[in-house]
Amino acid sequence: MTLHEIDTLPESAWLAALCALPGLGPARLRGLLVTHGDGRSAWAALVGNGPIALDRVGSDTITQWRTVARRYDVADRWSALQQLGIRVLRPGDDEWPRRLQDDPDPPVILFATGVALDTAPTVAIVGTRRGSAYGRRIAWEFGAGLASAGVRVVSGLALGVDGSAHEGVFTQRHGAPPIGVVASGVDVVYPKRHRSLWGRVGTEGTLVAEAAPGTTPEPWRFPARNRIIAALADAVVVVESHENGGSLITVDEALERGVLVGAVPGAIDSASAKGTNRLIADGATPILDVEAILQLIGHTPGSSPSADVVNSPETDQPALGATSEQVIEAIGWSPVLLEHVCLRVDLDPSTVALAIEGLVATGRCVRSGGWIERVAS
Amino acid sequence: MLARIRTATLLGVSGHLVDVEVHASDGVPGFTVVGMPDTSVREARDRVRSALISSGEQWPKKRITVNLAPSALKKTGAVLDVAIALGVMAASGDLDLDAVSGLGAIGELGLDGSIRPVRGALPLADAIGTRRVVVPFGNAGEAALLGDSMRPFAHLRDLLSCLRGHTAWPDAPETVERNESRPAPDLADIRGQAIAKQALAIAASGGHHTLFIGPPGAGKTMLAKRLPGLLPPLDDAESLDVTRIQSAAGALHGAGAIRRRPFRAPHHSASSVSLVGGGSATMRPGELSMAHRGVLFLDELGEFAPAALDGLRQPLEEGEVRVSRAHRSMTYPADVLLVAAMNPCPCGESGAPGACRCSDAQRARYHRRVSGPLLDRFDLRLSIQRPAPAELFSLPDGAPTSEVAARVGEARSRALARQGCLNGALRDDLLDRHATLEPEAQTLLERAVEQGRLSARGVSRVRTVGRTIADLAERDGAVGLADVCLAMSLRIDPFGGVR
Repeated sequence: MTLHEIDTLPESAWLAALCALPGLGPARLRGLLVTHGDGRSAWAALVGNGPIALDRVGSDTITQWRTVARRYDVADRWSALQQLGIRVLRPGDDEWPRRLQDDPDPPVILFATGVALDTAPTVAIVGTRRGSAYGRRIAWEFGAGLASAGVRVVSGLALGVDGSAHEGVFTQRHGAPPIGVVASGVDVVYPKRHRSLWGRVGTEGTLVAEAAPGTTPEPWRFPARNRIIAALADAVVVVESHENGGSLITVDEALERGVLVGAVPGAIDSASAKGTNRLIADGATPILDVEAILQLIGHTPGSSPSADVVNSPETDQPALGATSEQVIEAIGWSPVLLEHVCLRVDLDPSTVALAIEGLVATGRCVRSGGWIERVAS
Repeated sequence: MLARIRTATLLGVSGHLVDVEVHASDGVPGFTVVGMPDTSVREARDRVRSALISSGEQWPKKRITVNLAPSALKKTGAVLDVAIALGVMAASGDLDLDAVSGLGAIGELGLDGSIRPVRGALPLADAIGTRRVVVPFGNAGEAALLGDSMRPFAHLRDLLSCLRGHTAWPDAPETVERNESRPAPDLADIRGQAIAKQALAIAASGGHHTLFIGPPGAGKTMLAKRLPGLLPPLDDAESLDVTRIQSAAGALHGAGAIRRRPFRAPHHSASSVSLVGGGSATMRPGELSMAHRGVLFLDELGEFAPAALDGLRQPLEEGEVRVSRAHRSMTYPADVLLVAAMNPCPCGESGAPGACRCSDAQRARYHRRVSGPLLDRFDLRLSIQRPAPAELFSLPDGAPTSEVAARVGEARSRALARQGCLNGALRDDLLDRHATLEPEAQTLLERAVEQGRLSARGVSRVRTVGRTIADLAERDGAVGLADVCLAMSLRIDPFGGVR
């Protein structure tokens, strides 16, 4: 690294380098900036064995930072970031979201890929990773409906509700680009199953991370990520959540920031709807359709919500026989076993199994394990 | 003088003939046993000596050599005691050689001269095959199965007196049926669970292994315990087989022929050896063989050691256990109907989508414990649920065991008349002959393969189960669409579970 290069490196480069140190989160980064003024001085103190003092950080950690920092080529990494198209955002930048300006716990730096963050209306769709087909379907429908109404859908790219919401967004040809806020680096796909979705959000939408590229998703980063989801949104809609689900952290963060909270009601005896039903009981707005979300944020869509649908899972629904109608009524809207259906319709198991086979083939029910769930009317 | 008495030694579940040759000659008094005896056989000298003296005999002051032939066979246990005692008496001239010629004897001696029952009396006595076989009185029940040649004795003194012609030979023992004090559990005891009961009927009719997946308290164990009652009673040959194994395992406890189908439920801490058999020199039968012709129930399948479970795969496929050890390899019968139960995941919730509290990693770890190939052995895999408290009283009881067993019997006869084996044992190449499909059923299966829902093996198994469902409905022709649909519904992928 020549002296000239060092002089011309922007502050963002130094902050990005600091972020890449192991275990250095937003709080510690802010602490370093308070004592050293800027990222460049903090880095110089680390590399040059200067004094580093941080609350509740042991000397072991600081020694480890020094070791890593000495092997870290700031200029090289900075050019790598630019080559990869990873933008580094700081307060004061044009792209820095206005919503973060008065945030009680704002990030010091954000890494982003894809389209720019803007002031378009934004709604967070969040929920459990292990929910029912119902939750995934609703998230999918909300994702599609909001995108087509010009609302950017922000979510965490997790399995279950998060992923379904973004999948819904991508069914809209001219939908608003989604925002994915992730706990790992923007280049570290987690969960692996969402590789292709991750890629699409990172190019056709905006992928945002507080962690430096290359950071693995350590457990403590997820709650921190949730605060950014809440901070970026005009409203947080929880589609399905267990009693102590992680989405409730997002809700807490939203309440702290005065962001509106809505929840989708579920069956009262469904474990994966306990959290959302509780939210409604506690005063969250019950979300019964996409319109309700739009009203919540006071948004009037530019185009009608049903326009430009690329594909829908409910396109192919031939009329079914009387038995099938009887069986699907018996299935109801909570997961059931063959046993339950047989009890309700008083038909022999073979006939019921045959009817269910037909319902699954036409996409009106899905199967998981031995359980059958109704997904479309 | 040389005396020869026939006896037998136990290896696994079968007896092997052993000739006890006793030679007594003048010389320095002594007692030697040759011919691969183990420690318990060497100790026979002291037991035999005391028993004879307690029976009022003199220990001969001669040089005595006992040879156990064939020498290649390892002899174990005290079962040779009686034969050695008789050989010693005859060789030393205290007993007429003619009296013991062609005589067989099994039994362990007590120091007081009593003849104690032995483990495996049935296979042992069966292996001897002489005109007269002396058996311990305590084993009379099982020996009765072998017919007229058995002569039960409780004391060495009585036996010697008989051989000397002082008293008459006792009669062959009467056949005693095992006294089943507790009545078998009945299907009607379980409310609801109509699908699980139907699965049991299918399992019993076709010999299909069954896996119940459900939370604690759903009634998995209750259901499994009612499966033996649905199977037809053991016929004479099967009963002899089963009794022989129980005898070899020392589980008869004086009882006679076993008529009820065995039900074995080993704990999940069971080792591989205790499940499949083998072990040390005695090569005892394992739980698989103890459940021969009956039901083997593995509760908490996911808690068994994975190695122990994988050891079950070959026996389940072949209906017998092959165990190889350093000194020899053995085969045990193991034709069982396997029923297993497991929780859907470690948290023990219902397994319904959205109800689970486990992390993905926890669940994956739990599911890895049951290997895919083992899972594949279960033709019937179904989720069951606890009935809701309100339902518990309103649910129908359903048919009693006797009624379902009659239908099962019909279905089994139908299969046996058609193809000579149960549907579960139907070879793949015979499916096109005996389990033809209606065109719609064929289409459905093809689609299931395209969608990755069924493997090629899965298709064959679904066809056999569909055949059984048709048999239970008293239909011969082709297997219909509804039969195949039900068969597929009863073959869930328990770990496909929640996304």
